[in-house]
Amino acid sequence: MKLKIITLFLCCFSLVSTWSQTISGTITDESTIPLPGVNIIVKGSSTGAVSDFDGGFSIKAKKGDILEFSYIGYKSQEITINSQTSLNIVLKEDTAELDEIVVIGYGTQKKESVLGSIGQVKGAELLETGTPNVTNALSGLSPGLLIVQESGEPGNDDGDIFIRGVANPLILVDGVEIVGGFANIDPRDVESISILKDGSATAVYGIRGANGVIIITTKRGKTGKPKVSFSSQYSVKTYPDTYDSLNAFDAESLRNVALYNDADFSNAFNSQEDLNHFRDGDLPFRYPDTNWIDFATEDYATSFNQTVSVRGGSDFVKYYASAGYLQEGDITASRQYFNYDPEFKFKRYSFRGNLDFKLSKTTRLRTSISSRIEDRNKSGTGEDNDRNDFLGYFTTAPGTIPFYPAEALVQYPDPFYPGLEEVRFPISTQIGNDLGGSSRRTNTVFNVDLELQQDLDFITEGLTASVKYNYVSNYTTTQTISYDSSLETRLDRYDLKRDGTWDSEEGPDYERPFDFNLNNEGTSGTNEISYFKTQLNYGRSFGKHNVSGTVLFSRNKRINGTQFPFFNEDYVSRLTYDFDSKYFLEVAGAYNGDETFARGQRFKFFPSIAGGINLAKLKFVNDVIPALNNFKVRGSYGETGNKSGLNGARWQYLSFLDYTSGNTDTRANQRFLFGEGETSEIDVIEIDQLGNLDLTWSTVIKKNIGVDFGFLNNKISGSVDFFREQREDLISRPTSATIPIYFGSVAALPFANLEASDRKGYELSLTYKNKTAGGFAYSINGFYGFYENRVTRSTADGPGTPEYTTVAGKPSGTTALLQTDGYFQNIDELLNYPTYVGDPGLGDLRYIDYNANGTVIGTSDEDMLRFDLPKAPKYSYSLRLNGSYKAWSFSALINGIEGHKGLANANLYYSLPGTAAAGRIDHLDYWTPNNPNAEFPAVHLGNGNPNTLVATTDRVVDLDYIKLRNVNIGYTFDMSDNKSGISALKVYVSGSNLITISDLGYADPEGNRPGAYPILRRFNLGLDITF
Amino acid sequence: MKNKKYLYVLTIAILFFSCEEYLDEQQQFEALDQNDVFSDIRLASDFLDGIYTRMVTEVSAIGANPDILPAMVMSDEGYPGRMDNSVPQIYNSYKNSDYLGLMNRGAGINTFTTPQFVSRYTESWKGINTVNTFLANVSKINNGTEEQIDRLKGQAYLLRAYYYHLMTKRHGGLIYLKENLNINESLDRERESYASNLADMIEDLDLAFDLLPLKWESENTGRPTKGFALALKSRVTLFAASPLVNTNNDQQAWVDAATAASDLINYANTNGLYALADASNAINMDVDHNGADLFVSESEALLPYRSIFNGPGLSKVIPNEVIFMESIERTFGFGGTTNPLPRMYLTVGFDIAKGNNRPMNIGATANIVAKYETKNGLAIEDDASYNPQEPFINRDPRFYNNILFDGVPWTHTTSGAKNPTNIADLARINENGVIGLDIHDPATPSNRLWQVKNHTGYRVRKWLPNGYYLTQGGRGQTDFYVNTIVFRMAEVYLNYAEAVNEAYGPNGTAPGGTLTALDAVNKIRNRVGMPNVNAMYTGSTDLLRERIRNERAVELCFEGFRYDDMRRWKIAHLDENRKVKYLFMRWEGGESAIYPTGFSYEDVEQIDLEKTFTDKNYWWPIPTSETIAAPSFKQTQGW
Repeated sequence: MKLKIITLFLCCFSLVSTWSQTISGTITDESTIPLPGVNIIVKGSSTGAVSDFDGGFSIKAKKGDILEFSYIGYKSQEITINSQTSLNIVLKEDTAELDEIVVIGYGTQKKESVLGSIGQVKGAELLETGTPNVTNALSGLSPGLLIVQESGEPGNDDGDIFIRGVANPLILVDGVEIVGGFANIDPRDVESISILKDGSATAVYGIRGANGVIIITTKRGKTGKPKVSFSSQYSVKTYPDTYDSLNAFDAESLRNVALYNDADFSNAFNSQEDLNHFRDGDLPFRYPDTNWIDFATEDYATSFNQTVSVRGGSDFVKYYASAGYLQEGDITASRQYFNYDPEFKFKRYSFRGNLDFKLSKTTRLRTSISSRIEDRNKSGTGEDNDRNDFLGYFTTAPGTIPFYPAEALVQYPDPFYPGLEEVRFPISTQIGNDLGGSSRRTNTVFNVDLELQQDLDFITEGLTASVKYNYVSNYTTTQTISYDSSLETRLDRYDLKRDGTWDSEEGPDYERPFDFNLNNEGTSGTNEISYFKTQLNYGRSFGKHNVSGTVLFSRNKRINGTQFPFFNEDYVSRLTYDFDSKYFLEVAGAYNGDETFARGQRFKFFPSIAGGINLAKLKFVNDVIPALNNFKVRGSYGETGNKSGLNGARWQYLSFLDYTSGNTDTRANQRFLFGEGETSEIDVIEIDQLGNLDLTWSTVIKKNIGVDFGFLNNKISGSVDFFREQREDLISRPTSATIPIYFGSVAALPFANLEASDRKGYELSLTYKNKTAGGFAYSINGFYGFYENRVTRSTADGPGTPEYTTVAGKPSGTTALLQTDGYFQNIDELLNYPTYVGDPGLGDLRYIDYNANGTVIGTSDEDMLRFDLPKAPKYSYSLRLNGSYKAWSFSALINGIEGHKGLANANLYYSLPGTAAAGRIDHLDYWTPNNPNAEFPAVHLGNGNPNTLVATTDRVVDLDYIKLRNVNIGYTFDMSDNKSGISALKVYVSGSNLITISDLGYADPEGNRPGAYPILRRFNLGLDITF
Repeated sequence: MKNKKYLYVLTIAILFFSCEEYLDEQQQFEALDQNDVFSDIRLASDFLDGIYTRMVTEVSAIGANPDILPAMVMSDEGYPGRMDNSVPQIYNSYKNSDYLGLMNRGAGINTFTTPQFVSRYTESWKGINTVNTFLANVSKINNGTEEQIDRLKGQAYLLRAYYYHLMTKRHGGLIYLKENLNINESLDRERESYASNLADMIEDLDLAFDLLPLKWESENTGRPTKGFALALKSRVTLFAASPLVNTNNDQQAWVDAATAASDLINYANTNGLYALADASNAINMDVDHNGADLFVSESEALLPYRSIFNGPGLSKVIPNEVIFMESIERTFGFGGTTNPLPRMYLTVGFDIAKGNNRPMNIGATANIVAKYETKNGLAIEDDASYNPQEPFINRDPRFYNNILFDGVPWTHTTSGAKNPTNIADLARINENGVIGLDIHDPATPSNRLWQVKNHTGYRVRKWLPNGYYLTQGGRGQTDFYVNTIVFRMAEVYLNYAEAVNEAYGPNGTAPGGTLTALDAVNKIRNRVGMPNVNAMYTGSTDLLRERIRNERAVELCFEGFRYDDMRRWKIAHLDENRKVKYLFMRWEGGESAIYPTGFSYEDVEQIDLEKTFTDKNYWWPIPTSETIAAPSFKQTQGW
C-alpha cells in the first residue's frame, strides 16, 4: 500500500517538475550589498541553490512553490511563487540571531527553542583574541566560563577551565571526547564552541556531564565555489613588567640583619669591606651583582602562525580542508653551552579534511580526518606540570654569578689549570635552566570520524538514523637529554672565593669530562579512544506543534598508555516539544555507566526536564509592550553523575588480601625470623584493599532559571540565569576525623559516598547593538557572573571537630591558616602572649591563639582557621566592544575578577628565600623598632624563619585583576574590481594580555603562580587573504 | 518493501543491542581471596603473622630509621645527641611536656619525625584488628590439627593482651575490643577503666597460656610460648599494683603481682627454662687503679653476661635467660651498611665526632652512672674507698657492660679515620668549650669547632660490641648481632622481689614460692659476682624498696624499663629525676695526687635540659583526632 503511495508521489514530483520555471534574481542586505552564499530552497523539496558572489541566483520552481532564503545572521524569508521569474530579495539582519543554530548535546537546536543555559562562542571570536591556543582564547568570551592561565610556557600554557566554578568539564570535538587536549586545535578550524552549563543541557551526558560540557564544532564544507584562504599572523611577545629585585649590596646587607635576628653566628656575616665591594662593584667576579631576570630573559620573542584552507562544495560533496603551522618562540635567554638546546619552543602542524558526501537522496556520509603534531622543547627534564620554571631566577641571590667568563680566569688564574681560559660554572648558584638538560616531547594526534546518516522518511516522516564511528589517538614520545651521572663525576663547577682563589667541587685531581647524553626516546604514552554511536532522530511539525526526539546508544573505549582500558556505555533519549515557538518543553534522560563500580552500581539513570515560554510572542504581551521582541522565561532541572572523589582510583569495589611486599625499609616484619637457622623474615598476608560494593555515582542536581530577552528590534538583548547545583553522595575516603584510630583498619579505609556540596550563582549578560546612519555598526556586550560553592558535608569533619575549623558549612576551597595579629612590638608582648610555634622574637608575626589553650600550634584542629581561598574566582566580568565602519573593524575585550584571594608563594612573598640573599625592593620595608608598622615582619634567614613556618593570613594576597585582554583593529580592502583573483583581503593588528591592573604588584595574579614561565604580552600583525 | 522497513527497524534494534557485559571488565590482580586465606591453615597463619609486624616495643628495631625518642632518653638514663634538627626539636617537645603535640605527629612508622611510641598507638590498634579478624575467621580453617589451630589462637590472644599492655601502660584505660567494630555503625565509644582493661588482658593471657606450647619445634623457634604469657602477666600485675595505678595501695594487688612472678619462677624451675647467665667471675676483673682490665675492649670474665645482649658474628641463638626477643638476625640497610637497632646511633663513631656536621648519639647520663655501686656492694656515696676523681674503677661489673667511658679501646674498621688512635675519646678538654677532640693525637687542630652539642661524657655500651661505630651516611661495621630482648628472666626476679617486699616484707615469700624478696635481688647481683645487698639496706620494706629500684635501674638499664618504672613508682616528677647531668672531664695538665688520671671529673647539671614533669605527665594523652572522631572517647585527664 505504502509502496503505491510512494510511487505515486514520485510520479507527481516528476510531473510537477516539468511545469517548473526558472526564477533568478539578486539578494542583498539592507544596505544593498550583495550577499553571496545565501541558501535558497524550494520548501518541502530537495531542490536548492546558493547565491553567487554577486548575490545572484537562479532556481527552478513552479507556481505555488515557496522559496526559502536563509543566511546565517539574517532573518529567513519565504516567497511564494506566482508568475514572477525574477526576484530581488533584501534580507534583514537578524540582530537577535534567533534563528542561529546552537550545538547542543547530540544535536543542534534553534536558539529560540533552547531552554538550557548554553554559551556560544564563534570561531571568529577566538581569532580576534590573537591567541593561537583555543583554551586561552576562550578567556572572557562567555559568561560562566573561566580560564585561569598559570603559565606562558610555549606549548605548555593551557589554562585551567572552570564552568560555573567547576573544573574538569567534559570536552568534545565534533561529538567525541578529546584526546591530547583541545587547546592546540587550530582556532581557524573552529566553527563554534558551545558551553553547556545547566542540568537540561548536560544531563544527556550523564556520568560525564556533571562539570559542564564544552563542544567544539569544526568547520565543514559549504556548497559553492572553492574558497581558498591564507591566514598569517606574526607576533612579537614581551615580558610584562616584573618587580624590582634587590641589588647585591642591599640583599647582602639584609642577610646580615637576618643573621643578627637569628643570632646565628656560625654563618659568616658580610664584613663592611665585603659590602663595600658589593656596593662599588669594583671586583665583579668576586663580588658580583647579577640581575637574574635580566640574565634569564630576552627583550622579546616571536611567534608565527599560518593556516591555509579551502572550503566549498557541490551537490555530491562538500569539503573543508586546512593545513596550519604555528611556531611559538621563547622569552628565556637560553644559552647553548653544551651539545643540547635548552630553549623553550613549540611548533604545531595541523591538518584537517572534513568531507560530506551525499550518497543518495536520503543517505549522507560525513567524514572527518584530522591530525596534528605538537613538537615542544623545554629545558630541564622534569615533568610537564612543574610550572615553577622561573622561581629559581627570582630566588637566586644577586650576589652570585651565573657563570665565570674566560676573562675571570685571566684575572684570577687557576694554579691547577695554568693557562686555562674558559667559561666556568659556579658551585653554589644554580644557573637556572641552562645546565639541567632538556626534553623534547612530540604529540601526534590523529582523528578519523565517519558518520553515515540515513533519512527514514518512508518509515515515518522526519525520522533519520545515523551510525558514527570515531577513532582518535595521541601518541606521545619524549626524548630527554641529561647529564650522564653514571660517569660518577659531576659537571665541573667552581667558585671564585672572595679571596680570589678557586674552589673546585671535585678537587684538583678531578678529570674534566662532561657529557650530556641523549637518552633513549621514551614513549610516554599512547592515548586512544574508540567511539561508536548509533542514533535515531525525529523531527516533525504538525501545524503549530513541533516535535523532535532523539534516541541513541554509544560506547566509548579509552586507552591511556599502559593502564587498563576505560569503558563507557550510554543510552540517551530526548524529547522536545514546542507550540508555535511560544511554549516549550523538553524531557531527556541518560542511562549510562562505566566499569568503575561494582555490578549493580555501574549504571545510573539521569533525567532532566525543562520548560519555557516566550512571553513576547503572546499576543496580550505584545500588545502592551510592542518593543519587546523576545522574552523567554525558562527553567530546567537535570541530574548528572560524578566520580571525581576517586581521583583516578579504580577497582575500589574489590577487596583482596595479599602478601606484603618485602620492602625492608617500611615493613616491620624483618624483625622476626622464626625458626632455627632461619634467615628470611616471616611472610605476612595483609588486607591489601578493602572494597566497597555499594560505592556508586554521586548525583549532581542542577537547577537553572533564566530569561532571554530582546528589546527595540533586539538592539538591546541579554539573558539572566540563576543556578543551583547540589552535589550529593560525593565520593571520599573516611578520614581520621570521622573514623577513630581504634577502629584499627590495616588497609586504607574504602571510598564511600560521603560528602556533599551546594553551589549557587548567577550570570548576567547584556548586549547593545546599533548601526548609525553613517554606517558605523557597533556593539557593547557585558557580562557578570558569580558563584559560590559551599561544602555541606565533608569527611574532614568529625563529630568533635570545633566549628571554626570544620570544612562543612564553609565555601569549598578553604585553607587552614593561622590568623596573624600584627608583630611583636616589645618584650612584654613576647612574654605575655601564648607559646608560639617557631619561637618568634621581636618583629615577628603574632598569631591568635584561637582555642585559648596558651599555645599556638600550626595544626588545623587547634589554632588554624579556615580561610576562603578558592582556586576559581567567584566573581568575574567581561566587557566586549565591537565596531565596524566601512572597511574598518575594531574589537576589544576587558575582563576581570573580583573578591579573589590566594596564598602568596612564600619564596617570593618574603625576602631571603631559603638562604639566598635575594628579594624585592619592597622587602626593605621590614620591621625594626623604628619601623613598627612595616609591611613585612622582621627578616630571618633560612627555613627556621618563624614567619614562614606555617601558612598564615599574612600571606593572603588579593588576586583581583582587570585585564585588557585584547584589542584588534582590522582593515578590509575592497577587492571587488580587482582582477587579481583575490576576493577578500584583510589586514589587522592586535594585541593580547596588554594591560593588567592588580594589587599584587610583582606578578600576574591570574593563577597565582608567580614562579611560572610568565604569560607574555603579545603584539600581532595579521593578514587574511581569500581567493 | 514492507520487509525492507522491518529490516531497517531490525538493523537499528541490533545497533541498540544492550549488553551490560560490555562493562564487566576487571583488571586481573595477583591477590588472594578472603575465603582462600582463612580456610587454609598455612595462609591463615601467614595472615596472623601480621600481628608481629605491628608490635612496637620499647626496643623494637623497625626499618632503617632510628627511634628518635626511645624510652631511654625519656627517662634519666640517656640524652639524645644531635643527629639533625628533628631530634632536638622532638626531644624538646617531650622535655617541655608537649605530649599532645607528640601524639599528634603523623602516625607513620619508621619515620625520622615520629617517635616509635607514637606510632605504637596506631600500630597496636591495627594489630588488635588483625587479631580480631583472625579470631572471627579461625573456625573456617579446614585443614589444620586442633593443636595447630590452638597455637595460632594462643598467639592471637597473647598478642592482643600485649598490644593493650603497650598502650594502657602509657595512656591508661582504653576500650578492650574483642571483636572488630563495624564501620557502618557508630564508632563512638567511652573509655574503660584501667582495671577493666587489666581484667581483659589477664583473661586473654590465661587463654594464651593454655593454648601456647612450652617450647616450639625448631622451625618455629622464637615464637612466643607459655613463658611469654606468664612474663607479661607478671609485668601487667606489677604495673597494676604500683602506686601509679594502685592509688589506695591495695595489698591484694601486690599479692597478685607476687603470685604472678612466683608462678613464672616455679614454671621456669620445673621445666628447666630461663636460667640466668652465670657471670659471677666478673667480679674478679682487674678494674682497679691502672687495672689491666679497665681499658680492655671486651673482658673475658664479663662475656657470659655481655653475650645476653650482643656479640660479634651473625649468630641468632636465643640466650637461656631470654623469654622472648625480636629474633632479628639480618643486618640490612643501604649500600652495605648496617642498621641493627632503632637505637643504632647509641654509640656514634668517634670519627664522626671529629667534625662531621651531623653527629648523633645517645649519651648515658651521669645520673644513671651514679646508680652503679662499687664492687663492694655499696652505693658510691656510702663507700669510703670511692674516689670521685677516679670514677671508672672498682664499680659493679655491669658498669663495664653497660657504659662506655673515655679511654676504652674501640677498634676502627674504616680507612682514613680521623681519629686513628682506636680509643674512645669522650673528654671535654679545656674551658673554651672545645670538647671531644682527640687529646691522644698531637696533631689535633686546636681550632676545630665542635658540633656535638649534647655530649654527656658517657656512651651506651650495652648493645654494641667493640668496634661498632657509625660514620656519616650510616656506614658501620656489620658483623655483629644484637638481641632485641622483650622479656628476660632477670626482670621476673626483680618483679618478684618488688612485689614480695611490698606484700610480705624483705624476708617474706610469695605463696608457693621459695625465694624471699631479698633472695631474688641477690640472685641477680650474685650472677655478676656482686655481693648480697648490704645489710644496711635490708632492714625494712622501705629501705629495701630503694635498693630494689636501684637494682632495676642498673640491671635493666637501656632496656626500656626505666621510664615506665619512674612513672609506675610516681617518682618521675621529683627534682632529681628531672635533672640531666653530664660528666665533664678536664685535662689538668698531668697526673697528680688530686687527679690520679690527670683529668678532673665533675657531674654537671645541665639546667637548660631539665625536664618538665607534672601530674598530668604521668598518663599520656591520646591523639586529638580520636576525640574529634569519637567525642565520647575522652582525652586523658589533664590534657
